[in-house]
Amino acid sequence: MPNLKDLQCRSKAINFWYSVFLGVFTVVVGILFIVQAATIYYDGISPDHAGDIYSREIVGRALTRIAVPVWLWVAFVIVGAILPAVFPVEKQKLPPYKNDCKTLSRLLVRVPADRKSQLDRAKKIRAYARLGAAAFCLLAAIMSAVYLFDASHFPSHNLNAEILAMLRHVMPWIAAAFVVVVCVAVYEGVSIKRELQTAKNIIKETGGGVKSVPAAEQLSGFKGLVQKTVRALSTERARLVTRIIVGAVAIVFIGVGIWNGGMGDVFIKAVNICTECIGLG
Amino acid sequence: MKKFFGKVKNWWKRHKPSKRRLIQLYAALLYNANIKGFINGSIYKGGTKNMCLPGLNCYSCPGAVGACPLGALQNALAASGTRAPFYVLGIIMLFGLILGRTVCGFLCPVGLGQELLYKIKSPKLKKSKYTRILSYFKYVLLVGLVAVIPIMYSIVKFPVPAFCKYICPAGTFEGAIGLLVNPHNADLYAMLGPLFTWKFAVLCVLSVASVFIYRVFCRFLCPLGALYGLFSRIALLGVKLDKNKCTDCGLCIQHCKMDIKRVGDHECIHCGECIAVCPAHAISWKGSKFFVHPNAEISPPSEEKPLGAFFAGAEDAATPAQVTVAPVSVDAAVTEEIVIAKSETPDPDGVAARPAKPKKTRAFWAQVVAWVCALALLVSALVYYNFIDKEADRITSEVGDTCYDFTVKLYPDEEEEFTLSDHRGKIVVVNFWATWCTPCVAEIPHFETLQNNFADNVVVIAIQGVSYEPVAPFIENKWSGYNMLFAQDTIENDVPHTFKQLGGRDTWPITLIVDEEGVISFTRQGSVTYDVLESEVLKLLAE
Repeated sequence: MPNLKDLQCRSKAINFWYSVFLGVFTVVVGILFIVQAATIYYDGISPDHAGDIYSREIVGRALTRIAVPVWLWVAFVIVGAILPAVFPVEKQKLPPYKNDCKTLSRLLVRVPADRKSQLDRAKKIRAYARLGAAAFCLLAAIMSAVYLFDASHFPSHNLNAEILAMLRHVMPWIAAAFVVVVCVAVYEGVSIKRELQTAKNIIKETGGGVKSVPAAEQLSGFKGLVQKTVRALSTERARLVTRIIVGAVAIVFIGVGIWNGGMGDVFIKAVNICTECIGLG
Repeated sequence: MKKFFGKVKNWWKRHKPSKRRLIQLYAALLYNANIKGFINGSIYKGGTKNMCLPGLNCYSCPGAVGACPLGALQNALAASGTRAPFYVLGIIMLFGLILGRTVCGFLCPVGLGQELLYKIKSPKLKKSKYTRILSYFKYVLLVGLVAVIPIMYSIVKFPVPAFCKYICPAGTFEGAIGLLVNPHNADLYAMLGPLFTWKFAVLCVLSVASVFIYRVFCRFLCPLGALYGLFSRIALLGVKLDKNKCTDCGLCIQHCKMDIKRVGDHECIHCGECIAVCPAHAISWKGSKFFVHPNAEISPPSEEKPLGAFFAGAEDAATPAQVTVAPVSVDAAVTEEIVIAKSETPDPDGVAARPAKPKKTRAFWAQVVAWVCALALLVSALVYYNFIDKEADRITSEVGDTCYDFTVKLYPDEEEEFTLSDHRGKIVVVNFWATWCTPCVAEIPHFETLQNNFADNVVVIAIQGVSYEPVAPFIENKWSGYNMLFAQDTIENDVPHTFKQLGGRDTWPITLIVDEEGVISFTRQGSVTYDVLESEVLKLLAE
């Protein structure tokens, strides 16, 4: 008689490897579609090709070439849907929720004040890193805006060339901003883990310290003003007022839009097909 | 046999469509109720296209009965030199205020498509803090492609809905492919080129990525979701978190496949799947006090037999596996589903005890009324769009036909007229264009070059259709000093008359070449290059 655990392991393995296989097959089918489109296009623009790049017959031939793998893929997708019924898998429990930041802030309460300095230093470095990332993002936004808001870059003589030029100028800044933010996120993760370990070690050494969480700190001065403003804006009343204002503005905008012909503009665009706007071009 | 049907029954219980899925399907069908458009290969042109739909649904889809908010916004911004885009902004604000990102979770066909693709069995890429960072890229697209580029090009009177043109998969799938699959639109293939190849590749990449990454387009690329996310704090509908009850266990964040930091933030699509997993019942629908009794949220747990029962006869079947009970029947993925264990204590019977059925409350009857009204709306929409709203018969103009003799008024004054038959003996090149149409505006210089190179034998006339801005100043601004003729088509019931008589349907631009005897020798839907025009004219001159 088969052992239950063995059966469960076998089910799990079958499902896992099937999902890997179908994942790879899906990527292959996607690549096949892209390759067919690219082949039609490059054959169409070659000097020895007469007639239009695309036609119903050309597309039909291309689809026929990949019909077998596509139908196979459909069949495998259907099998994949039925597989868990035949080889059921043990439902996994979620791992315990870990939020290192919250754990750290809970532990910090228990660290004696005289031992907090090295942890405060790490916290400051992280704050500076975040500030640096924000500054870089702002710089990237400014550099992109300088290019984008210069009308001479968009003279409409050759749209595709202008868009490509825009991408060449703007995308490196955007990409760099995301890279910087990701790097700071990685650093934060590592730093918090290290700080967590240090805090645990300190608590072990000193024997625990205060276990209760102190009441929220009442700030004064500018920080106090910001804190009061944030609290006030978070109340239900503030939300209700915002909703009323936004709703009123929306209705007024719609009314003005109907009056000044904006609704007609929407209609004109919606009942006529700008071919390049949907990729027919 | 009984065991087999039992397995099928269990599989159906776990995989039957949830209410949210039914609402998504309903919305997709309602947005595209003009089913006869798929049969005829033409788009709907009726009055409901004055209205924007809440979700991303291309208005060039043959079935679409409303306008796309994102496309409408880009075009409104592209025309912002003429008219401030109050209408579209007002509509988006209203949708944002009432629905917020509930649109994404319930009312967007693109979201539905991605969720269905995600059900395909494959390894899945789980979310992390890095995907959260990448989710801000959609705001970059919102600012860059949806707002700035159309506005900057509006300065030079060149309409460029950049997101629609270069990225939007809904336009490619619903609009382009939706039209191309119809045999009536075989002539549209002639206009396909590099742009279609690029957009098709984008569509394929996003479709494949959706199999591995939950809602990849919604999370990283959708500017409409980015817009609606701005209203997350004030939206009237959606899920809300009761901070007094919340124990900060984080199960909601763990269970959610979107990049949320807390329930109801700008990444939350308000699908409501976190409501079932919250052990403190701190998450509920907004307005649940009025419409839904809180306890009614929790439906009886689905009956799940222990895994050992599948392997009946196995020696260890007496020791049931740890029971995991889904509090509600969630729309389970085909792949392994992570379900929170409701209780740690083993259940000796192997099946969690089912609580008593709740009484039929006001919430139940409200739901019944809502479903009946929704069904009535859907049925009446399908009947109206497909049987009552008649489409005019299609006129075709083909090579070899005698060209319809038209008369149009010439710009700038619209006092002089142009009649086709007055120009017998010359080749007449007729181009239909519109101020809002990017390829139309881009190709006008080609016609001017043709006019200048063949001034003795060729008359080029560009006939403007329906526009939302004054055309004479537009022409003066862009093409003053041009030798070719510009004219305005007669508009009847919002349809350009000559355009329709010469076989124009929905697509712009259209070019016809009429020979010296008034017979059509060339037609093209979509833009043309100077080389094509020149070769056709030279062919006619050689005869």
